[in-house]
Amino acid sequence: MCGICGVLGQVDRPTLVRMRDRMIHRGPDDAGLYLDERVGLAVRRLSIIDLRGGRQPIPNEDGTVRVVYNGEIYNYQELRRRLEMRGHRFSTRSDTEILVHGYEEYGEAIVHLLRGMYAFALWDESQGRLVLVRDRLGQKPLYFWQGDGTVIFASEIKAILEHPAVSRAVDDEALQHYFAFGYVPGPRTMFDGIRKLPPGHYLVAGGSGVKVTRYWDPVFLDFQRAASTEDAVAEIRWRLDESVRLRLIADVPLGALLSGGIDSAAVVALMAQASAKPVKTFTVGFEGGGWFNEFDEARLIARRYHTEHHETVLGAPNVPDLLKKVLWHLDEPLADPAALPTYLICETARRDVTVALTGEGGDELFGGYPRYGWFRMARTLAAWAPLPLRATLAQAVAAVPSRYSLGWRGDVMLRDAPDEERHLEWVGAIRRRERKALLDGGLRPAPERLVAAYLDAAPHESAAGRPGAGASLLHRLMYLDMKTWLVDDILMKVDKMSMAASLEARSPFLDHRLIDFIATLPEHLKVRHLGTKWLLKKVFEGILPPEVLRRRKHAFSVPIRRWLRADLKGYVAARLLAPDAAVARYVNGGQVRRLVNEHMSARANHERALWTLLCFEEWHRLFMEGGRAS
Amino acid sequence: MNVVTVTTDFPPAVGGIQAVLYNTLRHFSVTEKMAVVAPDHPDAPAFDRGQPFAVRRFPAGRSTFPLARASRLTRMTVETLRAVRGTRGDVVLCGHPYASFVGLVARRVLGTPFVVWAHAKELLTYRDLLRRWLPRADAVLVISAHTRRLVEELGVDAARTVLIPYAPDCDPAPAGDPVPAGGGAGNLILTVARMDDLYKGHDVMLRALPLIAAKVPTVRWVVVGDGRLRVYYERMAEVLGVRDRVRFTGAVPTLEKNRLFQECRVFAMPSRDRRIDGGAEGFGLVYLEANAFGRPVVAGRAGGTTDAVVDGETGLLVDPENEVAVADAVVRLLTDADFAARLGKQGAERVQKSFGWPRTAAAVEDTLARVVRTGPVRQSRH
Repeated sequence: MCGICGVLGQVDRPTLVRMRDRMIHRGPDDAGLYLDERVGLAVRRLSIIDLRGGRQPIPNEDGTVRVVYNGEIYNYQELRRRLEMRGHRFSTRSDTEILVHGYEEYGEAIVHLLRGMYAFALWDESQGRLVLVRDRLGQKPLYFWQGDGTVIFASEIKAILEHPAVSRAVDDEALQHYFAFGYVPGPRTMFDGIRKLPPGHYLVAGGSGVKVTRYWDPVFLDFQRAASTEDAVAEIRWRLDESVRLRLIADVPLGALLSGGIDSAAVVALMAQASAKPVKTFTVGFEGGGWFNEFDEARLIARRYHTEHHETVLGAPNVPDLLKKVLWHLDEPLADPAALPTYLICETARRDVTVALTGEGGDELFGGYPRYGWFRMARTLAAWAPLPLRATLAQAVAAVPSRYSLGWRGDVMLRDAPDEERHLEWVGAIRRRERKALLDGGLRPAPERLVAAYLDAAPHESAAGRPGAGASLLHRLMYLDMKTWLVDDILMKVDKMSMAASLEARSPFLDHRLIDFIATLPEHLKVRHLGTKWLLKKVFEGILPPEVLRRRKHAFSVPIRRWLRADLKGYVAARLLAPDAAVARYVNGGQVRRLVNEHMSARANHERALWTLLCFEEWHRLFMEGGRAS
Repeated sequence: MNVVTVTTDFPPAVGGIQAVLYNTLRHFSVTEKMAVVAPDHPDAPAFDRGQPFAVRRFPAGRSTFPLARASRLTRMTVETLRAVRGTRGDVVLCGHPYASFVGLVARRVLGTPFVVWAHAKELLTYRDLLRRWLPRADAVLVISAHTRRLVEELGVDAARTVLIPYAPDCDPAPAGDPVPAGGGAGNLILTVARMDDLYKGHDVMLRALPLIAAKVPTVRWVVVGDGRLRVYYERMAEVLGVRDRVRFTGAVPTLEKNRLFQECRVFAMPSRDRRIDGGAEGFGLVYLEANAFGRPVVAGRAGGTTDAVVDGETGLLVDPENEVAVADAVVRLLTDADFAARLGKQGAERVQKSFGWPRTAAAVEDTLARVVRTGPVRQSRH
């Protein structure tokens, strides 16, 4: 695992070194650099495979192709054999080298051969081309900036900011998206002019300008005529098993991050089966966490698979310092409180292991969010319930006082708007009404616009309009989650938090071949009625304890509501209500005060809104004001 | 010898088994009297009038309701018994394994032996029933070693099976037509297959296509056939960035199909063997068709293709789940014109020498006659 950066165009050595070393946490073991008149490439390396031989940048036989690379290519041994058969000579044992030889053999089409998580930059000297590639699901980040024939790229934004040509300014539109969703959906970032390379895309820069091309996208259309549930279960079993085994390849110690949920439990079960030594597992909980803690479930799994189990606890008093650290690593504000425990668990795990397997992606792949069932039910209701009943329901919903979420939730469900739009609102951060108040009428229709952009690109959309060809509601929502929430919240969080601790996180669920297969299975195998992950539970029936299979969804929740009212009360006020608070420059300060007061006095629950504002405030101080203290 | 054929699939309905049965029966030469019992079809009266044999129809119906199914089966059985009486049949040929129930009844009631023709995919449904019926047939015709394995799974003794390959559906074989060496102009790959089951390997071809294009920049892929998966493949082509290299023609008339066989340089269909993807190629007749046009083929080493394709002689057999292997094979045939021409020529010669409907029909008749003469088939080896 590594951090990469570089410049297409002139760059001096000290700048490049500064950019590179800004990401030292991503690669404390080693550093490398290549510089000539046309290009500069640099890398920080965390050694996982071929500890000594894998130094980067790696050139091809005659030095005309060079690569800097961050990630893991799990099928590199097979690819290497194929390339050797075609006469390529390898000088290292690392997975990086297959990129240069693969590029020599296939050009950009090399991207179609890679199986794993990666972001890399490849310099083709003879053609004067720079190729930037990001993995299919967006597990590894890659940002770029372009201007005056220069392209600057890096694994983290903070490295790009080291370049003198790049100035720091908040992207207006990104800010609106952030308030709506709690993260900044790609390809925008919170920094004006800096972009994310979208997952499953590559960028070619050179004489003819800059071109971004898609090379993969999941196609959710359920016409796989699964011969039977039995066959589907067997197929997923071996695919998951293969996926786990591929992810156990490393020259360093391995472990697993274990929550109490079925996804990580499944990963641990398969790991235990595949490895001779006991698996090391890590779980995080909260001081006085009560319902929020998953220690019991995790211990159950740990005992069953005889793992070497470690626990760690996050307490409210640590939050202010931790939040600052976490946001610095995140580069952008990300109002997902789970970033804190994620960082903590990665830090704990890093003491014993260098690589940890996780259960990320299980929810998106197998339909793990209860809202899918609810949306489907609402849709059935809208189609079949008589008008008077619907009108009565709508009235009832409107009558619910605003401090209860039921009214708002009901409204989102029943409103007459595109499914994707309502879904984005359902999972959003600050509700539309509050955003309107905060932004003083400057509100732009962020979710709607995002939906429009999404609809343009969705592969199944162009199929709609042909008989029986459009994707079902469930599949459209799953696709939407995979392209927004998974990439720009979950995977961003996991990458940045694990890298902050110099730990590599690998998720067996995020295997594109597994996804290609599951995406085409009939939806009744995924979500039945209001249940979730029907098929995954079938796969692990008789393997995992029934308590784990039966457990209700428990999305890595953090007791933020209570913390904000108690331990963090003073901290929140000092940040958000200070006369020089940054938020006051972007939103209506009076409204912020109202939200704080209502929440503190328990008149309403504004935990998500407050956390979103707080993260923005801390981020702004760190990145826009040079780390100003309060 | 008098033969009564009973089947659930018969023209004018369109499909693989339908065509095979018709082409075979049409080439029967030693059979004296023949009758066919088949489901009804709107165009049946016109079709049946033009046939050299009598066709008795029973109501088709589509309902899967158990009572409806039982009633259909009863009608099929009654019609068959009448046909056997009417033609003084010596043997019943069940053209579809599902009809073997009728054979059983006919043998019990009238004492006529029965022979079942097993193709491939149909053996994956009604398995419990087939397990009871099939092993009791006097002989089971299988179209490939793959199908033989499938019927063995259902409890049929291998000694009771007789391997009779299909013949390519381009009768008379056009191998003699002028064929430009190395195929037609342009780097055209052709696939001809229904798009109802994933096992045909369109998805693997799509994944291989960017790799092929990296080596042969002008490559194009023409995909003949239709089905519910077409829209999926179109979307896949889009997301993989190869949409402009692929032409989905849908189903095309035979003349157009033959023109495409002429025009292509390689015929590729990397079929695999996976139950969840709908099964496997029973035989792979279409590879022989391509061969008949002098074209080399790329096929997946799975299912019955090993009987249809001789690796390294009439085409290349590859791992159908590995898109790199598929790409390598296609690229080799596109870039090595001499090699491609040699395989194509050998393929055409093999089709002419060893395959043809008269040959298939004779083999079937031969088996039927054996059963009539000496009772159940007992092959010492196969």
